[in-house]
Amino acid sequence: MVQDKGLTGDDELPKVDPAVSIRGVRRSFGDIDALRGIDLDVDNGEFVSILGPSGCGKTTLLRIIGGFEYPDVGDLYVGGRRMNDVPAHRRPVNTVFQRYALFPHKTVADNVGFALKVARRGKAEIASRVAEMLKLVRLEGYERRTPASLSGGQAQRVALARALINNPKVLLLDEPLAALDLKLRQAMHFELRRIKASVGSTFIYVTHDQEEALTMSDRIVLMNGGQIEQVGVPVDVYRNPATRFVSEFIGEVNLLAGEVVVVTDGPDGKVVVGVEAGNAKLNVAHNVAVAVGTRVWISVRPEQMTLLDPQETAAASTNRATGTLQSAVFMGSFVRHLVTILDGQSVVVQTPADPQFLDLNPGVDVVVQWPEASGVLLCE
Amino acid sequence: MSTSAIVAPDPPAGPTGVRWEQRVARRWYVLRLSPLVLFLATFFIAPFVILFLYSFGRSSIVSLSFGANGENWSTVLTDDFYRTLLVRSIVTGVTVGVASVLLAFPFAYAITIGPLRRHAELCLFGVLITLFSAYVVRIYAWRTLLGRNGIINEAFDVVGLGPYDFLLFNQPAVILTLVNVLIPMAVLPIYSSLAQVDPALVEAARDAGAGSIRTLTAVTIPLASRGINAAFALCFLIAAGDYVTPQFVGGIDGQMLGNVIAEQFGTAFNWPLGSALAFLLVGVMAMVIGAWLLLMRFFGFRMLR
Repeated sequence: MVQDKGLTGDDELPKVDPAVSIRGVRRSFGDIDALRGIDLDVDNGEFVSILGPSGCGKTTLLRIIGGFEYPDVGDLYVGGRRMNDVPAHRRPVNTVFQRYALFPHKTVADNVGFALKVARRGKAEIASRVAEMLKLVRLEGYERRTPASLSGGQAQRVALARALINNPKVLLLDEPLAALDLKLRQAMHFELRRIKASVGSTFIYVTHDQEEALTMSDRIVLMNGGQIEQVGVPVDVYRNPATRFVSEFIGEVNLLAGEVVVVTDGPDGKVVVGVEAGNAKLNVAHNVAVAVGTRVWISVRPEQMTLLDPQETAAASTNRATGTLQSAVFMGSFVRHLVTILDGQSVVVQTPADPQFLDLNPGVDVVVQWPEASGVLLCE
Repeated sequence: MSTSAIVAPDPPAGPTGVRWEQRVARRWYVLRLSPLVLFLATFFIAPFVILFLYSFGRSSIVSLSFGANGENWSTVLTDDFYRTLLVRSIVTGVTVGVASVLLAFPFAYAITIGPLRRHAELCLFGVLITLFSAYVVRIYAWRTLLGRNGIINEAFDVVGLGPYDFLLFNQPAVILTLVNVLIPMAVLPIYSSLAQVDPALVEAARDAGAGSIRTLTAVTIPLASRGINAAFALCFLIAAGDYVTPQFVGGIDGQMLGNVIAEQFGTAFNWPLGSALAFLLVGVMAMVIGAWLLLMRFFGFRMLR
């Protein structure tokens, strides 16, 4: 790889350049800090989702990679090449825009082939590449249609084909499925994985939909307030949220507030932190010791909790909290129970739709139980 | 057939399911248009038809008469004098139209997509403020600029040149003045069509590798083509039919067909000949507009559906 002028000896970039490297990027719009110091590496061929609520800066970050915004501070590298001063039309990066942004005055074929036409390729080559791309997105024979005559899902596929025709090193997708209905969106999740597998580009996918991020990505980048809260594989982000924000944003979660009272050694080199919460003492596995007296939360997923009869004895290494069943909602394959435990805190417990759970009446005393290992300790 | 005051939010399908209001609206939509229809029928179409009938008539010193002779028409179609003036009118109109579009587009672009977009309202106001002053006043202003004792010649005088007479009383002076007067007419439609161009489409073009010029020609201009066509049509039609500007700054060499038409309806009192000339001008103007649209389509600036 030819050393670019932008790369100096001070840059500590790895030997194999990541597809995208973001170093200390900040961006503000007037008084609003959209990005407050972002560092991120995306590997070649990875499918990374940037997930966060609206206004968290995820779209700004994507636009900086695409070349439609510029960082106030920090650097952006694509394939090891510094991109800060490279305009959008010279970057090896293409974007699928949120509302498709198809050219209304051009046919589907002219939309898809536009990048090649700009690059002055031959007519025959353009036609064959366009046909190839339309086959990839399963829209063969749509060449002469106009964007106005396409459905939302078809328009999205055309936008995808248009962005992929130049074999971009990195494909940026800005909430591309937001305008589609649920069924179509779910079908497109599989389509995107399939297309991703056949083109091999790196995909960076911006979304506020946690389900999309969980089902499609190799890694999830969680953003909030212009900062990255956590980066990890979907299972990890779901099971081991690093912050309270992450635990609440992804999936449903029960957060139990308490204070650390004791720290003991546990299995696998971990520690077991004892937390006093309400009228109960709860244990939670944690990687590092936490000072006694620290205010913490224990985050437990509804499906990790179960309900027991108060008479039943506890299994080893589990937490128990006695409480009162407030309501139970039958959801088909599972039941959601709302239980008040620990001096009035409400938790949601999700159990299978088995008879012993279906027959529980509101008002009965129950015990909520979950393994020590499945809770996650979050500091304030 | 709903007699109730409450109407279903979604009218059921089928011929009887259409909402009462909608059926009334459909049947009597002419009523809603009627003030305009009435106005146009009375004050535009009727005079237009009468004028057309006049073109086959005769005039004597004291009266006008309708008729069925093609004398006027054969005169206006064969006489070199009228042809020269017609060509000058059309050339002036096309030049003014093209120049206005060429000047207005960069300005409209700057205040919608370009660097001045945050100050669009102020800039637009600056252009529109010229409409506050009377048309004739602005024409006179050009006389004081270009005339023998005008500001430009005074300036030449300071460096020992001039005075130059070629500045005023000719066709270029007419074109210059008309462009100045008509620029707001060109800015407004182009501005409104550019303001509607989705910024994401411009970004999509950049994303596909198009530089600024390619983005402009492949995406922005085609998407604004309706505004550009409207701007050209407005400026061309007003300029080609004008007779006030040539009267004040055109001199003998700058006279256009409009001046002759005005003369026929005025001092010459030959309405039939004036009518034939007027309709000749209208016909040729329509042909020019048609040619312009064909030309735009040829360059790929297709009208959007």
